[in-house]
Amino acid sequence: MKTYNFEAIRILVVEDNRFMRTILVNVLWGLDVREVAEAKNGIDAIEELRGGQVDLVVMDWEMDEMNGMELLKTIRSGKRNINPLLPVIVVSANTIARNIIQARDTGMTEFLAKPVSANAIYSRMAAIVENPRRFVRTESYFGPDRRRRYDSAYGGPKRRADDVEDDDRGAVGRA
Amino acid sequence: MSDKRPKVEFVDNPNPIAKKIRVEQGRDPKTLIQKADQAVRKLGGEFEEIFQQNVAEISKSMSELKKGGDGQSAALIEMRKTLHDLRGQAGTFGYPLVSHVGDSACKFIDHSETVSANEIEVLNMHVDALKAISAAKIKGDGGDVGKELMNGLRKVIVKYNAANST
Repeated sequence: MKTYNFEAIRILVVEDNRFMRTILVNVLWGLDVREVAEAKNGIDAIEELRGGQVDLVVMDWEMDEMNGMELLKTIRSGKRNINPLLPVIVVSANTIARNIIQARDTGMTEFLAKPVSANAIYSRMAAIVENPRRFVRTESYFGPDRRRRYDSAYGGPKRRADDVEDDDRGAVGRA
Repeated sequence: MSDKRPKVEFVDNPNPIAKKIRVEQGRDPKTLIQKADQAVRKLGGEFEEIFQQNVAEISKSMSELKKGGDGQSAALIEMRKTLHDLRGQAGTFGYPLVSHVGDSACKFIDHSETVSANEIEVLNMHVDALKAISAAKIKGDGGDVGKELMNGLRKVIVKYNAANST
């Protein structure tokens, strides 16, 4: 694993629990992130994001006022003068599959299960740097490509219901 | 022939964050990660206080639940919120058993459609487990005691599910 220098980036931490926010901010400071902004819910986060100075969002999923899903939808909508391509790490203690799929289908970049560790946060940040995924826009989704692996050499039959997306990807790749 | 396939557009990710992050040659990432872990460990004392407060709050919500009546719904919401916060924090400070108990309680609440004496009994076992861990300051997985606690909770939930399945 490479060692990254995060000194030049600005991260927004969105978390309604004060102590959990402190934990996340301390981890990021420990990883040498110099600028960490804080918001206690989605509404405050939008105000912070409108300034356009944020490089990465680390957000809780369950929040009382404007939860993570609503905030992520707002970010990916591109409205309110917010960059829709912002990388977003969703942090949640609720790790049931339904929750993770919901976050994925809303456009998260990475998912991080609580309790958090410095190692887990570092690895998610490294993944964002090393494996940037292109974005996909369909009638019902805008966000990072949900398929992390794409085998371009595969020439067999495509049986998935959404393989039309795959076909199109191939077409774009050939273009 | 008309093309009825859904329209899909791909947008290249310029990934501007990568341009701001540089690789530090010759430095082991473990050093950086250990430094960040250390920064979090400093908050351990504060967590101990929060843990005690949370257990007291959960116990109070439990008393409200047992009373029944109009306050029951609010008490359950309050209890679930505190349990959720606790499961998300405890493991970071060496209390994974607390995270497991909190997770079990949250999932039980999420799957329960009603709050009757049966649900209250199951939740009460979780609250008692948290009180025991807090009183004895059981860190880590709790060894044999921890296994016994978690097995006890699992058995109670299995029994509840069996009694409530049609």
